[in-house]
Amino acid sequence: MFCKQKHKTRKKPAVNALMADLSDLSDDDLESLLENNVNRSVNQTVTRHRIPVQRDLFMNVLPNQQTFYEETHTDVSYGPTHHQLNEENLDEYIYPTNYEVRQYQYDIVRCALFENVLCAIPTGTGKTFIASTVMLNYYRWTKSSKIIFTAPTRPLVAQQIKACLGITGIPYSDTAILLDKSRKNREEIWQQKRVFFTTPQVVENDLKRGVLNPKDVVLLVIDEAHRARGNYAYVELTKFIDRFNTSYRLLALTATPAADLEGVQEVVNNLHISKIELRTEDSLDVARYMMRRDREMIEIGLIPEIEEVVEQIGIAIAPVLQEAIQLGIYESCEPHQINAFVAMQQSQKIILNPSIPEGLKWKNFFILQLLSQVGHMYRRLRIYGLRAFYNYFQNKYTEFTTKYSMKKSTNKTAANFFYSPILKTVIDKCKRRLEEPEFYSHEKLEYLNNELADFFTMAPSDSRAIIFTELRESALEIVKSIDILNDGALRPHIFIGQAKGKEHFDEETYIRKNKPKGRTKAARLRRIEEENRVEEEKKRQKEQAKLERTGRRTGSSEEAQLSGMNQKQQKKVISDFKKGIYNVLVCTSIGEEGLDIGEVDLIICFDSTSSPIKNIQRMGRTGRKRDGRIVLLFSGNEKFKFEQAMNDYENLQTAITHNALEYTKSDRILPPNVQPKCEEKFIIISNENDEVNKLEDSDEVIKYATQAMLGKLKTKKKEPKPKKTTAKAKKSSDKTFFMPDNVKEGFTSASSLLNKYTINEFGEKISLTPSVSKKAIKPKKEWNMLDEIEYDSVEISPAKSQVEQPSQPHKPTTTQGILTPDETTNHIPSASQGSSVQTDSHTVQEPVLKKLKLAHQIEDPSTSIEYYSGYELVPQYGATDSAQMLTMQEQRHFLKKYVPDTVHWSIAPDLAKSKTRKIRHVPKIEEILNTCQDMHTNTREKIIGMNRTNALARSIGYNRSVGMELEVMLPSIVVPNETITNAKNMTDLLEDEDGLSDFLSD
Amino acid sequence: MDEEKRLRSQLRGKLWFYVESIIKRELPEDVKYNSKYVNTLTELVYQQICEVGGDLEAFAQHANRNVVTSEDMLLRTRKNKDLQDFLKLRLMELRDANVGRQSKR
Repeated sequence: MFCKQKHKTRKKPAVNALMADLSDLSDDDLESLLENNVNRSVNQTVTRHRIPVQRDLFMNVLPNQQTFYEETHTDVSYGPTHHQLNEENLDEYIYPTNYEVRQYQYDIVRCALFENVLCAIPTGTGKTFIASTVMLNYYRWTKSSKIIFTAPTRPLVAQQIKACLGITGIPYSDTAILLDKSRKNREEIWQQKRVFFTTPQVVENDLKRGVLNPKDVVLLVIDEAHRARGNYAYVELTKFIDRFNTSYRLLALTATPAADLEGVQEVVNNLHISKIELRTEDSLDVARYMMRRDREMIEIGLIPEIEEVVEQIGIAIAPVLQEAIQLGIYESCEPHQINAFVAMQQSQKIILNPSIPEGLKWKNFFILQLLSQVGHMYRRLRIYGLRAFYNYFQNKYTEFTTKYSMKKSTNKTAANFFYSPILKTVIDKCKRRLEEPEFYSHEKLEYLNNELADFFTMAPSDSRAIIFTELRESALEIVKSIDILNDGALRPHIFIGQAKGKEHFDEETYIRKNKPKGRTKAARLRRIEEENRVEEEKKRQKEQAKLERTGRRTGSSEEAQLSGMNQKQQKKVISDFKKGIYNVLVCTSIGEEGLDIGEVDLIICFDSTSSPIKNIQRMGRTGRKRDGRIVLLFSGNEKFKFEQAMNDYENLQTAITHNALEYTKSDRILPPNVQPKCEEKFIIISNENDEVNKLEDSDEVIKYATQAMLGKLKTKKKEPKPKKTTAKAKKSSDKTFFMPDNVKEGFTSASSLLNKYTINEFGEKISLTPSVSKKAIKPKKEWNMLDEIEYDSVEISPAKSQVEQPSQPHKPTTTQGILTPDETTNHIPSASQGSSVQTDSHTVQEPVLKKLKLAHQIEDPSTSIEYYSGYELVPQYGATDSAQMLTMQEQRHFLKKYVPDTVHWSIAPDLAKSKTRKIRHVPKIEEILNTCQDMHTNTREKIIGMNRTNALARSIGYNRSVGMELEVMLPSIVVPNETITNAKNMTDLLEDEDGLSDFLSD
Repeated sequence: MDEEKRLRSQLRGKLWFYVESIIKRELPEDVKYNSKYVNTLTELVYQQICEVGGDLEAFAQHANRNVVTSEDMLLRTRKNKDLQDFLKLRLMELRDANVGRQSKR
């Protein structure tokens, strides 16, 4: 293979090495602008190898083939950093020994100091410690550069503050906590402090506003880094900083990088990771420090009632399923294997398919919709129990039947299903069973209760338990079922997100809204009245229900389930949970990640998700400080799903460790010759910092930190007034845009861009210097005089000038030759005439010839009045008051500033005074013009004349044309002589002007 | 003056007649004309005739003759080469015809 080496070494600034090809599209200008900006330089070497091509019989290369393939080697290198380094601290890095030194932390810290590391170690293994250590060292190594710690949610940020400041001893005076609450002083804070704890959106906004200078950042710690995908704030943030600064360290922390390889690669790309430190629970070095976590996977069967319902529904849905299979819109399977998700996917496909006719499309859609609903029912039956199923079914049932009975829906397939007798019996049975108080709608619940009871009898009094489930109503059901046990040791509460619950189908409202309405006013009034009544009734019912609920223990849980829990309620529940008022928390997915729920000793997963991340996050809630127990309840195919998810995850881990990913090279930041040694030191924490350790609540921590940041910690007195006013009086500084280095900023006036250069006699460009215009005496060149010759008449053009002009000896002779007098211009008063007459009296009148001279004229210094085109400015323009004209002052100003000497300002004609006349033509042409115009006019005389002539013509023609061609005959012209001699005709002539009588008498 | 006027109007009438016949002959089939058009055209022609006539008289007088000849006409058309050539041709034809006639006598 012949190898053609083609070296293209280009400096590609600010371009990710993996995306180097994009720079091909950038302007040269852009490149040069960014050139000196960042210290990362990318060298790309492209090697082209020829590959054999296919030829035809005549040895011609067949078209559309690639004849070469390119190999690209990229070399990324970094220049020296722009951060100011503390030389004396560079020899060592500090490793705090306040806590037990763990080997994996030690190793990871060591790596993270010199490279961008993604630290993927299980929850509770001390990621924060690693982060704090790295932060501390960078704090020491740089003089004034900024360190930012970001976490997705505010409670997490609070958590980290506590950890960092409590461990590492970075002084409070240099730290700041920035949550979006207040924006004032934000700029000040960014400038004064060095360590920041914040959410990424805050940083992103402040960067874009220009409040934070990206070049100041030297370390960025990202918590929950698996979120750095898509266009989440983390990604935007790093992109923005990269444009201006590549000399910063990135430390990414997470427990679970992603669910698949592409995801991890994306995170690596977005955060410029050079190395992944991966540990799992099974990793030996980590496992040493982790508490025991018993994991128990319990397979739970279905109670016979559920089995029965499953079967009956299967029978009811069988015909629909058959139809679907026959139509080919659903894969063949058993009724009880109907999968809701698959059905939904299929229905989506059908909707999007444009080639199916409308009727068929909708029929199929409804079939699939029904199948998907049944699928959901199955899922609930199997995983969550009878009650969940029953609620769902009731909702769908009422919705459908109401609509159907009102003829709003004509879905026959659904009708057949919902109205089938099998279903009716089975539902009735369900209902009866559910009304029994001791009935467990799923065996899981029974198991759960037993488990909890056992656990709490044996566990210490401050134990806690968390139950995870996906559905809110399932969570409520669990709470209720625990409550029914009436066990004082078990105090459950629900914990869900902020969203309001989905509205159940309200039959009554629907009927009322959709029944045929009367259009008369009376009917409308009646309707409104009825509506109001119903509203009131509803309200009352709600109130009543609420009262009833408060009586019950599970009241607040029920309340919450209906309407969601806002942040305040959530916080309250958490604090109660920590205090011990509740010791069992039933959470939905909100409890998996992000909230500081704290340590628990028992985790029960009521269901399993197919997301390994979620599973791992859930299970990471325990086993940190004490031994923990995890119970997973499986029924149906959950076990299979779970194991598959975990297997996939393990495969992912191995793939990562076997270098399946592409990494980017990091900037070392420290100079290459510096090799810091580790110094294990016990950090003495100042009292202030230690205070933080004692605080529990994240809000309090935030408050404390904010106070510390604002410097209010030591002095608890009120701020004196003058201090406040000075703070307020500070002007907000101009908005800074962070531009590349060699950019001209600010506004330039257009005039300063003009008239910089002129061409001298050699045709070269010479720049005009402002000094030229400063001369008092201005030599003038009268180029523009020629323009006005046409306005000059012979009489006016002065043959002699009144001023001594030594350089013009022969003007009289040539004057005549210049202007050719034209009779047409004689009677035209010239524009100059009027003005020159005026100026004659008291000014110098420059002669016409003078205007033609190219030589410089030396202005008579005695005359102080400036001349432009020989006419004095003052008289002409002083008088006129037209708005368009500039005043004298303005003119002078304009002339001085904007008109250089080589360009003359020729004055616009004085429109007020100029008299223009229309030039007349020669009489002959005038006649022609008149006749042509007469064609358009309708003056009476002209019309009469025309008609008379016409009549004459006709008579001639008629007379002479009897039987003969008109053109041939030439009529005789009546000559004046003849008429005079013929006296007889005279009288006729006198009467008959036109001579028509001649012809009539013929 | 009246006679002049009468003559003029008669002349115009006749001129109209001929102009109209020329128009009729020269215009294509589907093109129509109205009397205003003919009127204007007649005026123009009349003006031209008067002017040319004046020029011819002036030329004849300048050559000390009191009869206008074809030479005057050719002088008049000196600026319009094509017209002059056409007239020369026409003159030749007429002369030949005249010669023929005279020779017949």
